[in-house]
Amino acid sequence: MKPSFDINTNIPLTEATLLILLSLANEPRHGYAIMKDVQDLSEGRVVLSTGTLYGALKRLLDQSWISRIDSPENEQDANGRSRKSYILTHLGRSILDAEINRIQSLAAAAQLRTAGRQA
Amino acid sequence: MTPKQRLFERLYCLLLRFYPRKFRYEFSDEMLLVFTSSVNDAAQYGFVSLACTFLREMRDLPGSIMHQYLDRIHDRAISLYKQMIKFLSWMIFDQGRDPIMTEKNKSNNWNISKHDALKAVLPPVLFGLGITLAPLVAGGKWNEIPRWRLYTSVVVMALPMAVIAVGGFIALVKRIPDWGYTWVGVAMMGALMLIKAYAEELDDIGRYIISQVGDLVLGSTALLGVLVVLAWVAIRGWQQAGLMSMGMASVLGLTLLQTVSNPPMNRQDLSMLSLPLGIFAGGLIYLYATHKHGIKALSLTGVGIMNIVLIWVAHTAWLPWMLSRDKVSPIWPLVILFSGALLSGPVLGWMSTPLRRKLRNA
Repeated sequence: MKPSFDINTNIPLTEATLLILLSLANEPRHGYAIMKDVQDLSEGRVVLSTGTLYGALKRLLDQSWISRIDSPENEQDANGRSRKSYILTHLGRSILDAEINRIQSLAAAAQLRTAGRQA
Repeated sequence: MTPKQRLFERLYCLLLRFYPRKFRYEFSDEMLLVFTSSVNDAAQYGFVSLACTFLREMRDLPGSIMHQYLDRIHDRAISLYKQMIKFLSWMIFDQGRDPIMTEKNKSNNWNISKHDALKAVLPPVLFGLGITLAPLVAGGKWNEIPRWRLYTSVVVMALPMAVIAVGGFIALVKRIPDWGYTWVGVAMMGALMLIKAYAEELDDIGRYIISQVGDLVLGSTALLGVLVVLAWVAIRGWQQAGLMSMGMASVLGLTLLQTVSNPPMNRQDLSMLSLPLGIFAGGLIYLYATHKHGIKALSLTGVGIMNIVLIWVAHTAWLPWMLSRDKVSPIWPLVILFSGALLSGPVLGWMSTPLRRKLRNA
């Protein structure tokens, strides 16, 4: 899949995609950590299955919104295999920022409108 | 890890095999790891939690697998589409020996070199030459002369046509270079006319030389070939397609002179006009190929007027014979057909502008 560098054509994001990108906003995470973090971020509302999570990760990798790195040695699995972690790319961060701005603008507009009605 | 967890893990490992190979190769280890972690976590909260986790995974897995296959099909379709566009672009614009062709096409005014224009002039001249020479060699009505003279005249007429056919073939093989539009147009329309002419001929025992089915198949194939090549040229631009149309329309007009030289009209005097008119059409082609839009339009109009005059000449030649048999002269259908052939190139070229832009950007 060819990555699209036009940010506006990529938003709005689906909830799962937004949550995955948010999960990677501060630090790289491996698959299971993303899964748990998404659950926490959504207060238990969004529980990703492994298949759904990796389908989304593959798409984000193809679009160059995230990239894959080797986890540190202390995060190896029981068989000594190094876990792969995922990190936001510059493009991914730009898209996440644009989506957050969009949501903030929308929320501000909604607050303004509902505040006016309450008054 | 309890036996139940191990069983779930094995089952999941088995199900991962249903993913496409590329996806499996890239992610299956990680997925198994994540699944194992999920199951281990859930097992701490009892069997119900473990079962719920496993069922959630099982519920989503078929959709996820299906999604990956659909993605793969989509990617392949996109790849195939891109390759097709690239091939079409190569066929239509990149003419190999002329790397600046694409750039040249981008300008609004398309002209070719004088050398190529002179080559482009040749097909109608050769066609006219063949039609003029045949009755000269025959030296009389075709049904009254010795067979050897008849055959010689046929050979004399066929020679220039063979040169046109070879030239048209070379032009097609070279993906129609600048000089090749008229060659292809004249050759393909000439072939179509030849098939239609032979379809009217009877052999010695009164049977058609080409059966009706043969006529239908050959005629349809030739017509389809003309349309495909015209569409191919039209995508390059209306000016290129116009050049091909001029070649096609010239052949149609000049063929009328050949028709009236045959029995029952036997107007060999009229077929003498073929060479000068072929040269006239060639001159118009030269002007079209080397001048700007205004002259191009005038050149097209010139060929159109030449054809209308030829239809009128043919009409006057065959009218007495037609009247004697209560037949109607097909003057208007011919005007429409000939004008259609002349305008088809520029109109198709103009209509294919969006497709041309898409292919250029590919």
